[in-house]
Amino acid sequence: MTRQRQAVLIIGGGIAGLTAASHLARQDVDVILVEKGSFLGGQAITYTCKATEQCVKCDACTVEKMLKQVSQNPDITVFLASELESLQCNGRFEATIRSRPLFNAPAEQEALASAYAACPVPEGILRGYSKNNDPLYAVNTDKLGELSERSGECFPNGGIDLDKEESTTTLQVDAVLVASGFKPFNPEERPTLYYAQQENLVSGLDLERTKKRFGRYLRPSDLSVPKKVAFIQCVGSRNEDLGNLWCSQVCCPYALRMAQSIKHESPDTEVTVFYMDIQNIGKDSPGFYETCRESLRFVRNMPVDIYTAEDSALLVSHLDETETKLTKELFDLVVLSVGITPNPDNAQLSSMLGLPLDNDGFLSPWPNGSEEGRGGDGVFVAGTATGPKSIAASMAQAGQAVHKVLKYLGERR
Amino acid sequence: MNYQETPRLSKQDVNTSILTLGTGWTGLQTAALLADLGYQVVLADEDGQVPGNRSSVHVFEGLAEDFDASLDKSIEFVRSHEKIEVLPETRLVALQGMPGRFSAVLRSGGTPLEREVGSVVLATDIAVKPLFAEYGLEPSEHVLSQSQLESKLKEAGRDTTAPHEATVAFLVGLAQEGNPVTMRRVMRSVEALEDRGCRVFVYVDNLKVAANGLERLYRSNRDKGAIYFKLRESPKISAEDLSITSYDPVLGKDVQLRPDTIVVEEALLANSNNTELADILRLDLGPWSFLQEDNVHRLPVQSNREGVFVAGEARDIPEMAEIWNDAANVALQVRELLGQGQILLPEYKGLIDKEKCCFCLTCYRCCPHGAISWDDKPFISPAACQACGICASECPQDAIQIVEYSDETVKSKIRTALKEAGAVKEPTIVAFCCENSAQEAWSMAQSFSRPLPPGLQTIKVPCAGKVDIDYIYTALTQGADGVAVLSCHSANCRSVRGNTFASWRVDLAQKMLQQAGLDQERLLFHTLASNMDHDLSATLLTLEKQLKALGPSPVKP
Repeated sequence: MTRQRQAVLIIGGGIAGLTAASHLARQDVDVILVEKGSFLGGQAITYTCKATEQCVKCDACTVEKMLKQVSQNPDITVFLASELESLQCNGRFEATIRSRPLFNAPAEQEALASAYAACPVPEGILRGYSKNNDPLYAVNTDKLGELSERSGECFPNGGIDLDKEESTTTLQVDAVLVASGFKPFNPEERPTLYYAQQENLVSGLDLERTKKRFGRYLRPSDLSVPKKVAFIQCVGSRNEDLGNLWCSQVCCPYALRMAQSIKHESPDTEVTVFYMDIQNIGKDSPGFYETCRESLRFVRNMPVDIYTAEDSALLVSHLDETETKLTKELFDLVVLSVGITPNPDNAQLSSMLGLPLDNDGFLSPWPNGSEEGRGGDGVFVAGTATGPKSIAASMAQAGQAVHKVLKYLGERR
Repeated sequence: MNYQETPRLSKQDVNTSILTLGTGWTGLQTAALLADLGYQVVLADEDGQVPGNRSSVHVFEGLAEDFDASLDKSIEFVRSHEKIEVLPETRLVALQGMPGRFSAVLRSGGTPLEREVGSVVLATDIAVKPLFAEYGLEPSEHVLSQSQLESKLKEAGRDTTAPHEATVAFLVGLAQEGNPVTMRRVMRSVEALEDRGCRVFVYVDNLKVAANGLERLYRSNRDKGAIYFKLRESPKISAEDLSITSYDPVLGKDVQLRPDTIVVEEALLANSNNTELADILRLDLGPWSFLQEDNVHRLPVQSNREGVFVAGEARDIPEMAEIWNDAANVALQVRELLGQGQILLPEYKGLIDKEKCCFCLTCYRCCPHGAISWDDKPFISPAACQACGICASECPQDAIQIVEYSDETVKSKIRTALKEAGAVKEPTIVAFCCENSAQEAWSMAQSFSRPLPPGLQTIKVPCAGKVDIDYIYTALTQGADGVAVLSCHSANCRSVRGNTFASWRVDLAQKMLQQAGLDQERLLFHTLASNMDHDLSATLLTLEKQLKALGPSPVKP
């Protein structure tokens, strides 16, 4: 007797979704991976290696590895630039997926590649962060209007039909795994920082992307190597005014690894870290923290204000540790260690899938306090959709969710 | 030797019993999940009270309301499950064989036992050590460890109306760096004490709140009246009158407190048997004697040996949620490894030529995956072998060939590459690229149009540890002006020490080049990661520049 193959829909192609897809594809299950953005890999694929003389376990390379496994696996069907439009329970699930147009034909990719560098519409054409992103180039559908208006300038050789239509696909699946990820805190939500107005005030993510693009840590104003750098921890996290009553768990690790990586690249650069409490970093946290204390300066206080001074340097005012003396200090580059906040899609996913939201707006993996890891029957959740998590922890939770999905599928056979 | 680059695949029967060592939360949970999937579980612990060893389980949310009930349920499940054999007072003495067919020698009391198992799970629990001495204190009626306080709180029950107006001070994170598990214990206790009307003070350095719910718990502690003193070093503590003196930056002077009770934090340490277990199992220990090497390739529950998994308290100090995750990941990995008892395996991944082998056991010693055993001659298990090729390159007799990367194949690739490069006028560079890092970075550099030397030829290897010194000479004598051995960063090698072997060989080759009158700058060893396309480009362009300055290699044909 032939058995109908079971299918699992994964929502989100970040590290949790990729890990889950990779495990599920080894289990005689059809895997459908739906990613809202134009590329797989989520936030984590934009991160850079932070090794010094040795690996510091930032896990960025693990995301590359997982992305490669998934993109080369013919048993995983990927829908890029796509969202779940509806989910009906009919014994199984009927999922409707809406997809924005992709330009993945070789000729279209060639046209986008040649137009990428000189595109007059900022971020009109997007490029993936990894060579394992296939297709590597995409049209930013948020900028379709501008691109259409200036299509002659953008695509002088043609080759791109910007009027391509959206499409919908309806699929039958047996289980749904939500791995829809997080939204990095936007520093503009703290207006007194004047993040958007100050060129050399960047977020940790901005600095990751600079390094990805140029291969070095540079300050935006003049692409020079910064000689004096400050990191400010807990931006958007542990903040009562914002109502963000959680530690984002990843910022101390990424900031200190990045700081060490900056020192490795440019040993003369001085790095100061403004913090409340340093959280643990990896398996040898005391050892790593000790190394950091030898080479970085730690100030246990949050700066009062940051203003741009001459030569685009930033004037940072902060109290010293005894909170008695106000110090003003110039930095070439100030990095805001932005945290993890709930994905704005969570509310919609919550109502569509019957997954409860927790107090902070993350999807709750354990409704009613049970450790069953599922929402409505057949709906599971993993990764930063459930709250702040490192790459390693997202992978572990994805594995756990797959275990539960398989158990559920087994019971339904 | 009947060697072919693509060996036959065949179905093989494997044993679906799993040996799980340790009956803390991780052991109990892992055994339960595995048994639930239909695997037979042998659950062994050195302790006599198993399952149900309560010496450390309470550190994980011991004050949670449903803790005891939930622990009792887990113990009862494990004890009564027909697929779980519980062996108290039992330790592992030796493990032979390979994934799917391990043979474990155990000692139970004084009696030796043998069990045939397909996989081994290490779930040793943690040790709990109060840090009285570190704070200059001795335990007494008024000086309690965190565990002692928790038992008292439990004894007193949750009767919040009982009058208890004592002053309690906690010392945490000042004698050790600490962790969220310890922090959660303190915060839960603070919550319970505040509910009883106590005045609570917490002396702490870094508040370890990087776990779900802890920041909220901290706020709740403070809303209830608890006062946190955040210090950079331990306050002055008098063992005589139990006073605690710390500097208050706001008041600008020392402040003294005389609490009725001082609660001293506890260190959570790796199980003291871990070192011995690592020895028996040929595992690379991680930091602080936890049983998992600190290597990104092991995420989440793998070890350097196929079929040997490390979970929960055995690999780190986990939160309860991480213990559940690890247990489920072990179950998933076991399912992927052993399936229903039949697995598809290649006939071999590496072959040892018995005519050439002189039984020196270099291969056995250098294999990072414990894949080599011997009977009359060494044998490479296809189930355990990761095909890194370190053994093949270390073998003094050249008796070992690795699938897809036999010496003949690699050398012929080098020759072909150099023939292609012959037409280019620029310096010819042969770069041996580990497939886990440099090969990926090279491909990334191409995708993103990073500049690369026109005379570059890359040779993919499964690990830099596969780069035989002979390959370097072949490249140089067949027309390369320079050679690069590109490897993963230190502590990032999938095969633990492949990059170390590679750097040793390059060192040696450089010395030999110098003796032969060749500039050693023609040979480069460099470490990088798969996503370092810029670095690969810059490194190779620098090498090319050096080679241009040196001129064509004098040993070029």
